[in-house]
Amino acid sequence: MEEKLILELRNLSISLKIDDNYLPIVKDVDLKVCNGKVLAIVGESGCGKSVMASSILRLLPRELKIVQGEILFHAQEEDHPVDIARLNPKGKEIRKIRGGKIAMIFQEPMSSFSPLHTIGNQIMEVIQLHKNESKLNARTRTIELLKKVGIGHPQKAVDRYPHTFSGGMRQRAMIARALSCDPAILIADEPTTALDVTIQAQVLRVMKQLQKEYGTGIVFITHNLGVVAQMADEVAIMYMGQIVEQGTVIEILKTPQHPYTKNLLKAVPQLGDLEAQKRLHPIKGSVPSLFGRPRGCAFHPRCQEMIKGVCDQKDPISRKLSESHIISCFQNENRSFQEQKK
Amino acid sequence: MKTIIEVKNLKVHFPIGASRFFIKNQKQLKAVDGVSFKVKQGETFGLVGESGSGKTTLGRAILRLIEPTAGEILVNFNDETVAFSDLKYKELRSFWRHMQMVFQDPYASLNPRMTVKEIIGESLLANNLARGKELEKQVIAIAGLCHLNIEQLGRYPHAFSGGQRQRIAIARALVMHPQFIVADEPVSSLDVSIQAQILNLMKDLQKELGLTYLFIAHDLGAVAYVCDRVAVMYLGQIVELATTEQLYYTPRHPYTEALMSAIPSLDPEQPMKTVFLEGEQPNPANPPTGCTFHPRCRYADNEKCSKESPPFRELSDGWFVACHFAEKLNLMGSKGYSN
Repeated sequence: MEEKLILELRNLSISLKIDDNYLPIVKDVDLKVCNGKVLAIVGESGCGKSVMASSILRLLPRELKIVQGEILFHAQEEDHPVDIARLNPKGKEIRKIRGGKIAMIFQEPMSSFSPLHTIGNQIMEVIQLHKNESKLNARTRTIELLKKVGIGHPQKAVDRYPHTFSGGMRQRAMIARALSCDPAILIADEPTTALDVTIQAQVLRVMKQLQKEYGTGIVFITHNLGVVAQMADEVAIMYMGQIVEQGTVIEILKTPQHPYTKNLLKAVPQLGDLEAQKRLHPIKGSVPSLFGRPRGCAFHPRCQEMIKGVCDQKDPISRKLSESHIISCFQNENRSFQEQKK
Repeated sequence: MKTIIEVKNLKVHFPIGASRFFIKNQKQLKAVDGVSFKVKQGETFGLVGESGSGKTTLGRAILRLIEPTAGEILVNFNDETVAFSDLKYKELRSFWRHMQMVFQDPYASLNPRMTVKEIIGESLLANNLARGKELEKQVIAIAGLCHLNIEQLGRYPHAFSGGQRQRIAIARALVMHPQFIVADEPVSSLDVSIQAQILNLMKDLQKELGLTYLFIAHDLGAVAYVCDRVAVMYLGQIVELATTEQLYYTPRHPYTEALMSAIPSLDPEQPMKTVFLEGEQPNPANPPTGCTFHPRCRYADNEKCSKESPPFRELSDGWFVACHFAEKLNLMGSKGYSN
């Protein structure tokens, strides 16, 4: 499959407006999504990953404003990319894209379906709206989709209400709904966090199959590094609204460079050798509140490799370590600087 | 090592559907259905399983926060075995001093109208164990042990982050100097970097105070890290019980195999060999006949597995499994096939 850029975030910043102050939630994010690839965004809760994801569909609540940057969507039919950040969030153009060309899977499978309508009706609605299909055709397609995501007896399931579905089934029905209009991009916001491991494995398998079949680009938001290792092609690590490190999955998980990434990997219990790791290495302290954003690098108060007078004063600038590996930290810069001096 | 808690054939059934006076056979949901195990002093006993498998109900039933329907719970705190399940409600309190609980959600388990000091000290006051200066001294000692900032004890829970709240919940459980703690998913609502802090704290406290834990979780990584022995639950029954190494690397029950093989590996170059479970978890109100796992089991033999319920038997020393074919199967652990 030919690799084609479909979504590009350029210098995107999102702020929370409180009275007359703007509090940065997402800061200067640059990301690219290609078709048929999975980009994983990893970070702790409150780091802004969900806000960033919903900004792509302009689903932000009123208090959150895109203050800077572009969200460029390269649709297949058009030559010019559409800048989603400039669209009216309630306008016609975004409503065409939302659900049709860019689809989203939400975290909570329990609360993302309306309890008052059947699963079938909620999927058919999307198809009828975006594809102008007749009700009958939409229904046939819905049954097909439910079958594809592995729901048993799709002819019957289509008329059932969400409460009769288990968590894993609902999450798969949600994938069916998201894929109903062959979207170019699928945004999955923690799709497996609320699920058990065995169900998680099923859902991930379905997503991978469908991605191969349709060549959808996936933005996968998660904090589970194991899932990242198995699903992602590229990974971006977020901390307090900024991307501190990004690269291919092998670069990030095998040769992490940013202290936060390194610490995160050490804090996860690994099953490789139960004897060898008797103790986890937690990251000291906790994520600072949004109101008390530290000066300089946001991670410096928790960082073990902090350089006094540098990290707590200046903002780190992102640098390329290789063609795909980008890091935003002073640490290596200093090292290479010292090497030059010698 | 003495046995501190012994559970024998414990059952917790909940009546479901409308109850009618003249109908004798009301439908029962068997949340916990005949569970037996022993917890030794000083160990961490893990309880894993999918949501709805009955792990939380079992944890609460052991403390009699939910009344068991049948079965026995024997406790031994002061070198004297007592049938805890037969005690009258009034007598329970003197035993609850030795057994405490840490709940799953630190945002819901702390009273927002009490200061941290009051929360931690409440059980001492209620039991008339300390008051005034002495109470304050004990609360501060425990708070220090749980790495809480002593100056912040006058604050209310809303001022604390998730990780700190869970420390408060642990401090509250420890203030009575219990011997046995039921920790019901203590880290599942916390972030990865904070999870590690709490798990380390629980381990340190265990060493320092000689605690025994019943650790309920569905995060298999956390369980592997803290537990000495682990029991796997499926539809209200324990299907396998063994040491952590045995269970993770060489499981003997097909359900354990499916669980272990579904843990995503952190190595992107090592593709997973997941054993997929087909179908959904059956409704516990209407469990399958025979072995409850047989409809989803890839090794199931229709003749035997669908008719006979497999006994929970001891394979080798301390290794229990409930499967007809445990000896014959060659199962895959979290590292791939054992052979």
